[in-house]
Amino acid sequence: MATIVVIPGSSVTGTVPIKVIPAGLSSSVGIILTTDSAGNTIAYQSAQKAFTSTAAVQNVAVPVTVPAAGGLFYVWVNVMLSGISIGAFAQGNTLMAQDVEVGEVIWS
Amino acid sequence: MKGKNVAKAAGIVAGLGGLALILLSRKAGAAPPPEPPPEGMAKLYGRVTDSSTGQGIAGVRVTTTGAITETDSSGDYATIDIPPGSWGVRFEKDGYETKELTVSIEEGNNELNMQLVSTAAPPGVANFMVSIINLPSEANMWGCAFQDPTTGEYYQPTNRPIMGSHLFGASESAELSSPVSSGILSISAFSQASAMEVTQIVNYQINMSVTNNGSYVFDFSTGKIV
Repeated sequence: MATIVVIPGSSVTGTVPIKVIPAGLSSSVGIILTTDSAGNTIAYQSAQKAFTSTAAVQNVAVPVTVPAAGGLFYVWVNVMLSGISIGAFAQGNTLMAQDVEVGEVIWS
Repeated sequence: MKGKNVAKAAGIVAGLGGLALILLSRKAGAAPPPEPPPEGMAKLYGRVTDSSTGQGIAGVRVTTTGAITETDSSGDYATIDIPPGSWGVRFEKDGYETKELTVSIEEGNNELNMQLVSTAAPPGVANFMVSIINLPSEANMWGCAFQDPTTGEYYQPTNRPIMGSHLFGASESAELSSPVSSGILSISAFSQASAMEVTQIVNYQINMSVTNNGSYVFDFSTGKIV
């Protein structure tokens, strides 16, 4: 499972490859971040990004704001077709939101 | 002591998760005190009201010390004469959450008003179930949503966890809850090769009115509710 390192509170884009058949369906995907692998605790949920299906793989870019609290987040993709929720599916990567600031060393 | 007492509730034991609202003071529209019990005895009385409407509820069974009394058309009740002490009291009526508590009753009249929470859905809310027959052979899953035609809002089945697939197998039923009883049922059959590769085999949009606690069967071979 790949871990992507991001800055807490930053704006990033998650690109979702999805194939919906047939073409012409009103569809949307969103990204959910959870703090546990089972998806019990949602830390962030993006707006659904709408698209019209083409019956081929489409890369849908979803704006995501990384939780300012930082930490390790599990990634889920929420899929809807024709108003029907297909499900929120676990992805194979995680987000590690971390930021380190090192100050000047104080000597004594 | 012959004056009016206020029963002291010691605890709420039963119920379906709602909070019992116990009114421990007399107010306008409260139950009139009954005839005082004989010296050395006690009596419990009060009014039972609907928590949302504030109206008295008739026919609530009030059980204490094994004796049952029922509220009248105003929601008022008065128990038989009972010895002072700590007693369990139970309020129950179909369509309401049962409330059970222990009260400390003193000699004389003791007032205990009670609000019961209705178990019926609020007005305008429809909880209903959809199942299907004749799922197309090329499909392995189905899903549905109920759309409010005024707002365009879709209401999804409630009997699936937030995470994971929200689709159903042929023998499964979807439970929905909608704030409107007339709307558009969007129902589709799907073939899902993987989480991110979905084929919609067929989709139907059905204008329909539903009743609370209604159950509906959709036939994919005809595109109609059976």
